[in-house]
Amino acid sequence: MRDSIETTGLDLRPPSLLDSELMNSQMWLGGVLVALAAHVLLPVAAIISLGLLAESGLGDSEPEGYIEEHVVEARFVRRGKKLDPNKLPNRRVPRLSTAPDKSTVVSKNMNPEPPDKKDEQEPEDPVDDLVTRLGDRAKAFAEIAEERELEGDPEGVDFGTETEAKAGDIYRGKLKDFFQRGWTIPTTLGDTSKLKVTAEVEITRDLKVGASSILKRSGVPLFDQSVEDRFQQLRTLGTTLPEPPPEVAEQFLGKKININFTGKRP
Amino acid sequence: MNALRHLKSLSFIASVALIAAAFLLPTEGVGQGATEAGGEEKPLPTRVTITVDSPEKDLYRIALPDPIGNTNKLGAWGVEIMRNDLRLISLFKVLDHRSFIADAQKEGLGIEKPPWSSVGAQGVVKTEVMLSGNQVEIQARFYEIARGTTPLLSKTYKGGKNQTRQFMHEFANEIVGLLTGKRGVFGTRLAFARRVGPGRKDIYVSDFDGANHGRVSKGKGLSMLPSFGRGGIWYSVLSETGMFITNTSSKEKPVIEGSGLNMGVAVCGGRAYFSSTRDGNSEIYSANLDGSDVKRLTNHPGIDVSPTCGPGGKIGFVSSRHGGPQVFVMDASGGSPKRLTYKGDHNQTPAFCHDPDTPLLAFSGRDGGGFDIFTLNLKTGEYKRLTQGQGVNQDPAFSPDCRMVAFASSRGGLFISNPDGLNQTKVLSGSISTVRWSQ
Repeated sequence: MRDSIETTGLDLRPPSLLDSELMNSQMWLGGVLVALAAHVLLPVAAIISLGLLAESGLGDSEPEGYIEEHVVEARFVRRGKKLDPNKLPNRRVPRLSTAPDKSTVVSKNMNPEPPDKKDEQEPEDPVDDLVTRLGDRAKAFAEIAEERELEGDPEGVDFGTETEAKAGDIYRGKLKDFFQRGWTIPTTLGDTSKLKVTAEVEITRDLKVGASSILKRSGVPLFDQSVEDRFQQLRTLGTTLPEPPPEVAEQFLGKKININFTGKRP
Repeated sequence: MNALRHLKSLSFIASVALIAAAFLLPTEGVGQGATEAGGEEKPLPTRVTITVDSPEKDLYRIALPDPIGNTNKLGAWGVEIMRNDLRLISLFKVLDHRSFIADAQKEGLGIEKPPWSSVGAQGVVKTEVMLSGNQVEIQARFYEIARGTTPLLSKTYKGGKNQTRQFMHEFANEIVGLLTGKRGVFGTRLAFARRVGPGRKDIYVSDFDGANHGRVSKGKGLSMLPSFGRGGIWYSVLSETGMFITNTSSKEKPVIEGSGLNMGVAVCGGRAYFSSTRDGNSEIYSANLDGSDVKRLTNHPGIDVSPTCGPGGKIGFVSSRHGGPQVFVMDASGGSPKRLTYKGDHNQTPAFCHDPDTPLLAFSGRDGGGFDIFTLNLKTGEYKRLTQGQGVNQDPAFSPDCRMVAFASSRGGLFISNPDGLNQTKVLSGSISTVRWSQ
């Protein structure tokens, strides 16, 4: 067998680690080159690609340089009546329909004696009693139907879901309302639920809409344009933003905020 | 041999060093610089981010200035056709061309953004109409301001002067297709019956915008209930012995006849569907397009009338089998009848949208005194009222793209609105009934 291999001039057997004489300089060089390619060139190529990607801005999920303080809609406080913080929350239920009937006497005896015949009294006027009962029932229904004032905050927003919040949350809700009202997109755009534009806008110290720019486009120029138009409209009209509460004013006045404009509907 | 061993050791060390570097480098280079040289963390500033959603939809503002070229009259007429198309589809707000401040001659077929942005245009259509004898050449461009000054559409149409209307419809269809992904249907046709005198009705056709209307029946008696199909316009004619069905290619000779009333034909999938009293009660039948192979599809003591092409090859019809007239659907062979409308006690003249994305049925429903137009979403079961308090409105027909609904109104003509009943526009005057839209 070995003879037959030698006659061909090529030894195709796998080299043994113990058989060092089989490793010639060409094989060593080849091994080094493969090691270099696998351990050096590939990582270097990956580093360069990452660097280029970071430079181009592609793949950035959000702009860098600051930490975003997101506010999701669920945190916006609901418009409603401010309740006394010292009281337990009020959950109104119709009193008349749940309170025990005053005329009902509940015996603690499991086997009560039948009442004496002489104690039994006919209602003076059964018709009156019926009318009273009907009236009570009507009151109960009226109470259910009564429009209850929602618990919330008088400064909240209609779409809010929370009953209490920090002053900043309330103000953010107002800002959302401010930028949303009047923002329109053309009817020719079909499904916009997946479109999103991230813009930054400055709130000037005199509560006007300052410089704005698009940080991330949606890929649909008309949708992007609708956001730019909204800012331009607010600047042209000189519309005044709602005033922030003093405790959070410095968070907003003279500062830039980010706004994600999305075409989806909750 | 020693040199080779040395080389092997070196290559191993180099590999380890470079791999370590590969893992270390990104954290220094791509990181946000939060760590100072001394190791102290420097907090990044925070920025408030809010999310604004649910934008309102508004009509696309489009500007169609008067054309340039050597024929002001024909050009202005042509552009007005396009303006009207875009108004009727209820997707566009066609800006008043008298408000434009751009220098039309200087711009030519191009645009400059500022004068169009300042009038609020989102899209601009520029045209040049050149007339030479009876030949016309139309250059048309469409620009979207948000996309710059390069035209998104650029077309040249050449042909006879009498093709100007067709060319304008064609370019308007292209614009709608580009902006919405679904071409417009400008240039499609309507067929309807029109009362022309006491006891006399004739069948007419017109462009969807009411232009080019003309009579197709012979005008000798009572012709009614038209529909589009192979063979031209099909309709029913009252004769001395009853009513037969004919079409425009048979020159009003009976194609489908029999004892009693044979009427209300709809051509669906290569067969004609019609109602007939040949067996006594009014039932739905089908026949080959030459009138042969008549098959009875319904068999019920209630009255079955008004067959129409339904979704998925099914046949819609109106039946009183559950009391008052309601809209039903059945297989093309007559099996599996299913009631569709449950609200109201008198629903008739069904018309289906054949776009699978818009599963709508339009019908006339009697509510109180007169009829009004309603739609039913076959997927969600939602009913929508299109007309109310505006006279008697009936016999709806969907445009092929289902973006428009045509109907006859006692307000004196044929109206077109969007599927929500908005933007109701009269496109033709007259005492009109039983409207059909070419598909």
